[in-house]
Amino acid sequence: MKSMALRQHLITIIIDSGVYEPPSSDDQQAFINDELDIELERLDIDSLASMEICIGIELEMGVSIVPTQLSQLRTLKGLEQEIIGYKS
Amino acid sequence: MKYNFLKKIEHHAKFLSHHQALVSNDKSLSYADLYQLIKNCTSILQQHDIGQGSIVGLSIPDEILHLIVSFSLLAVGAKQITLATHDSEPVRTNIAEQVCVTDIITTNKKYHLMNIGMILLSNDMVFRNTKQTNNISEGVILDDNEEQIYLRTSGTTGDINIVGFSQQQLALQSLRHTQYSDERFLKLNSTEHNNTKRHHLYCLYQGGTCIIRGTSSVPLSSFCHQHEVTWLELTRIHLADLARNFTPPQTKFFPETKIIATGSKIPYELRRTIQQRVTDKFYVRYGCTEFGSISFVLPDDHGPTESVGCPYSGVEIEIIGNDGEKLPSDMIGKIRIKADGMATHYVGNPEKSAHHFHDGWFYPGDMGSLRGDGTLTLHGRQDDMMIMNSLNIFPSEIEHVLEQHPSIKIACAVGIPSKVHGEIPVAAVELYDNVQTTAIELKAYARENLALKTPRKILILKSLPYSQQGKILRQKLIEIFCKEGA
Repeated sequence: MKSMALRQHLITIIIDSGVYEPPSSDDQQAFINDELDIELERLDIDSLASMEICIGIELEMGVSIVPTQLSQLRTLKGLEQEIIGYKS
Repeated sequence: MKYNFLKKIEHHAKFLSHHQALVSNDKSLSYADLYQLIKNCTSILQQHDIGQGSIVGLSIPDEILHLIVSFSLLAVGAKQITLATHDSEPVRTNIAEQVCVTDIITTNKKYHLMNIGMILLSNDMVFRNTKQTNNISEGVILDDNEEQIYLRTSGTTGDINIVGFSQQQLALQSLRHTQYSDERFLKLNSTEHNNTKRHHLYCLYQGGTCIIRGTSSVPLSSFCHQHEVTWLELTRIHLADLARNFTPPQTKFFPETKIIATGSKIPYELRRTIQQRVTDKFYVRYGCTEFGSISFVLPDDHGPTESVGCPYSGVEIEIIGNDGEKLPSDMIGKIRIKADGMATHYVGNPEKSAHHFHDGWFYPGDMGSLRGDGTLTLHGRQDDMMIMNSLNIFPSEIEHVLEQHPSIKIACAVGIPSKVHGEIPVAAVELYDNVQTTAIELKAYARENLALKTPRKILILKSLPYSQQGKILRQKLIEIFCKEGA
């Protein structure tokens, strides 16, 4: 999976997960274009959304991440790097 | 033998001699004709030394000839199993090996399977004028429990399991269908399908008329009209197509036609559509290869619980918990059933036999609940239940909701194995023709109606993977999802 496609998938997973503060459309596009990083704290991810993000990553990318791992990451870019690390 | 199929045919030939036994577009055989043809065929089999000790694979797509040969094999005391021409060679080989087939009877000159001896048969050979006069029903004395007909189960896991039935067992099963004596019976799948073959045998045992559709291109309703079909059995896929494409009054069934849905769970919406648009004489039946028919729903008893009705006379149904104790009404648990004529084991598979057959009961692996009035509702397969982060999810819960969506013809939910979550529910759907929707739209619909139990991925497929018996191959679907995520 190419980096841009991976970021696109990540954004879809974040939106689908039901986070309380999803990024704006502009921020989503900027993240996909690798022009912006997004702090996970800003998204207001509760435990359910965290579980949904982990499920989405496993289903779409075949990478198993547990919610505690997710909570230790600071940004969406960090999550992207974590996934790339697993896949390489 | 108390229950002897040949004696029954002989009896019908004597007392219902002109009554139609088998009817197709180009043939009409009375019971007298059928009995004579069985005698002719029996003589051919004897010339080939087929008899007790023979285990014969049948590869005969011509349905009438298939049934004649089948009866003739019963007459000579041989065992038989269908090696369906629609199956792949590896599948046929697997089946032939499991029961140690000694001979194959086929109508195809080029047919071969391993190094098993072939007997080439044709309609001409059986239908020739030289009439055999031998009395076949007294010919071979067999034990009542001697298994003579092997049927393969239509499992959804891809495994092939085989059960054997004696004539007595099949006859006892057929007693759940005594009404066939007055019916003109049509089942759309061919006789090479196990469930069709067994119902053709039941029907002929009871003295009814089997209508064979073959490859006729005549529309179903016209065909039923033409042949005065009174009993039409369809699988769910046939039913969904019928509900969608039926345009009264242009397509009109024979007024006496009853429609019976078999094979898989039939949604309430589909039942209502059939009753409103096609016929109010609509029944649903639940059964399995190992047991035969288990329960049925009468036309006036369809409801939103999508029950499969009350057990047939002589059939006992219980719902049990994980501890094996009987559960009270409305509780969901494992179904167990018993009745005269049910199978007692899987051929050559003692481990699986011990799991499914014990204490006199058969455990089909289905989950269900019984209402106070004795009606049974199915809740999916025991093995299909998903556990995601300690949440139990039955596929039927997801499928039921998805199938309420106007674009979805059929839905199937499965669990994808997850190292973290146990299983992740996903679903594949087949849409009606000429509808437009997207997986994103369906996912949103599912999320709104199923919350945590929602499928995390929905695939729209042109066709779900089906077994030859029309059951969805869930394992195959899991493989499709696993490939998608790779």
